[in-house]
Amino acid sequence: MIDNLLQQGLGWLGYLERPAVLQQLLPALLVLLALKKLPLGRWRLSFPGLVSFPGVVLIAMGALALLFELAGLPHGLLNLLVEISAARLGLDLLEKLLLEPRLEAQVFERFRSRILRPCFLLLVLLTLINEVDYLGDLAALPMVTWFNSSLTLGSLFQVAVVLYLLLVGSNLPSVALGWLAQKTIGISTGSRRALELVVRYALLVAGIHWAFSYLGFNQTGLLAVAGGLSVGLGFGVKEIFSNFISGLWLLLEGSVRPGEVLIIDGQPCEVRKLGLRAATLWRSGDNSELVIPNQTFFTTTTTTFTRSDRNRRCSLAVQIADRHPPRQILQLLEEIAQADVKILATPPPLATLREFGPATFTYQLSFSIADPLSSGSITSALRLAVWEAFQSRGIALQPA
Amino acid sequence: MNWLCNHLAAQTTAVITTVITTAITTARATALTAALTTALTGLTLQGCQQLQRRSTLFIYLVPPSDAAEVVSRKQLNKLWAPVIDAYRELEPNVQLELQVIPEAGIFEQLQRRNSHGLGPDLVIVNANQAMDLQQKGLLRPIPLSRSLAESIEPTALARVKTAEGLAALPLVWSPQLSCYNRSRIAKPPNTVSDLLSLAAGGHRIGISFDPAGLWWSAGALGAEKSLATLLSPSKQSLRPAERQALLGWMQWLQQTAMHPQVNIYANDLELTKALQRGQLDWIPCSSLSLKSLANSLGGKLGIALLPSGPGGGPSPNSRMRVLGFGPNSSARQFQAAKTLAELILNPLMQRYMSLSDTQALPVNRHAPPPVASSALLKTLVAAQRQFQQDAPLQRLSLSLSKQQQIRQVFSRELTPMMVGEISPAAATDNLIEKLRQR
Repeated sequence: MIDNLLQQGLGWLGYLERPAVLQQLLPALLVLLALKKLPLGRWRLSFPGLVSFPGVVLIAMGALALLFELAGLPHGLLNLLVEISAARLGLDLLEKLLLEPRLEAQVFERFRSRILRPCFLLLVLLTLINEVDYLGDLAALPMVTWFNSSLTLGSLFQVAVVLYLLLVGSNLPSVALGWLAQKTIGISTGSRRALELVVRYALLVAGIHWAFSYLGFNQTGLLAVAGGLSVGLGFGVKEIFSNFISGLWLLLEGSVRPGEVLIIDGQPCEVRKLGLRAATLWRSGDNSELVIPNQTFFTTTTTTFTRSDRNRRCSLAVQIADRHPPRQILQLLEEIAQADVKILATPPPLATLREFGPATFTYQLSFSIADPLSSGSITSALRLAVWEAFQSRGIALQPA
Repeated sequence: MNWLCNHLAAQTTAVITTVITTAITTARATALTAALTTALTGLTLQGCQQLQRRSTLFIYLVPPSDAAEVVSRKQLNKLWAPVIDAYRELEPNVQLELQVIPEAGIFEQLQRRNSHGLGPDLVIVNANQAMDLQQKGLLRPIPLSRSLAESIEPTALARVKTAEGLAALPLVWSPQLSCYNRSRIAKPPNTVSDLLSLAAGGHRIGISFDPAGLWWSAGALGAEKSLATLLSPSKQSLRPAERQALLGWMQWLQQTAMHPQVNIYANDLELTKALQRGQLDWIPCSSLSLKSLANSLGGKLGIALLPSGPGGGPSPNSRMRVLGFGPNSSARQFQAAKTLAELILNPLMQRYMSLSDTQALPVNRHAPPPVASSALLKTLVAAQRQFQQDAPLQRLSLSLSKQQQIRQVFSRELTPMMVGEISPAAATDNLIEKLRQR
């Protein structure tokens, strides 16, 4: 299979021995190399659309093609390069003028890098191949025989493209369907996200099924593959499959959903994304992202602050010399907490006497906050307020 | 290519020198760097040497639009395997790159690729198409050498002759004959009357609206000379006897077309498919369809000469496949293409081609087909003889565009007559007038 392709590709190199081809390609290559070195910064500011690299390439290739035409030299390849440069510039303008202002930065970047640019690259590649070979004939080239089905280059290519598009593009229809379901039936956000994922999985399964039918695999062959796969699932790919199912289950159950705050290794983290294999969590403490396999949540205990509500109960402990009246200290602690706007009034802050020491008493102040991820900063601010209030009253905090 | 390779080698040497100098100065001359540079040098020089030695010959096969069988690249390579093997012995460093290009878009494809410098070195097409391609500058004219004139049949050379020499080199003949279902027809019709008798006996006969599929009957009805006069570039007027002969042919065409057991199809491809499906019992067919028909009908496929008639023998068509030279080839590719053409045209290879692929007959006069060993070849040779003997119509060397123009006139004028809308006399007058205006 690879031999066929390699021989085909090497065969195309035969065009390079033709003077008409070389005399077009070499100047074009030299111009491209020279343009790479050209400083465009100042010009780019004056003419933002045209003075991008593709714009300059388009102008240069156009000029070169015109020069060749005037000199009566073959210039079809240069015309083709002009067409490709024009398409590239068009793509740039489409991205900058139409898509970037209208889409969210992340969505735009994903759409550009996963769909727009790969499609453009594929189109250019097919155009170039069509110049040196006949695509229809090339597509009929048999590649491999599997379960009595002869797979051609064209069918393999089509299946690969469709599966890739399904993988990267199935998000959009599933999100649209989720949005529609939420608007019409009024399902919760979590259920919407679950529905989106289920639709995405369904599309992928349908795509794979189509791919097998399109390639003409017979049922016996598929059964053999399924049998082998089940053994494989039992050993090699068990983890992957387990993560896949866990992700689906978690979403359906609603126990871990994007937006929830979980405690991982003692640190509060927000669930950002629940993917096919793993969940992505954001840790505010050091602004890091944790990628945790889905089955972790499925098999271990998870602490969440956002299951029924988003409130988090925090506490801080202080030690005060036993000569100060405990009732006065308890009242003071509660007043300090009540004065902090970031601390919720309901449930109210509560100060308690925890322990009698040899010369000090230990007090604990419990309070609730609305944002579980801000517990560190709010507790710190409260400690400072406690220290200032006690200092002003001549109460010294004792070391623990 | 030499220049490119030398340049590449110089560039590689410069890069390697820089890498080694940097490695030494930065004291990072590790074994990996050394190994990488050595491997790179080796690969570049080896690759370059291979490129310098190797060459590729790009060959396009343009199957006729009415070919019953779709040829894939794999089949083509298999079909050409003996030629490729023999050629490899002559030119071991030349790779043959065979591509199948549909006839429908061949002009546009060649125009675009030739303008890019990416056109084929050789094109296998029908002779009339090659004439058009050469007129448009898409094929390189070939000087008619003495050796060619001595070895190739004069009829074949005449079909591709131009002012500058030859539009292409003749390759093989594909004569027209009749194909029938042996399980339905025991004895093929020898005359046009027999053909109508077969139809009257309940056998399903197929003919096409396409003039190329009908012209064989002009000879049988004695109208071939009339048609040749009408179609000749001098546009001579028909004598009364010639007009009468043309009218006789028209009358027979109408009589046949109106017969309930005679089915009329758009072209030869439709006829072939109908015979394959068992919807017809007898059709005129091109030898190019024989392989496909044999695949579907097996032992039931019968072939015979087309029926003769009161006017004489039939005037079958014989399609000639030719080998055209592209204008983009480098000097080395052109030389390699000439070597391949000489190989294909040598008597041994021509004889081999007619034996291994009995859809075609050789054009080399020193390679007579072994008719004694094959009844099929014997019929093909007889059909080819009918084509060459006293066939003024077939001697007209018409380009594809002219043929298409004539085909349109015929279709427009014959169709209403064959469905009974106008009389044969009116159709004859219309045809004469329209062909004169052409």
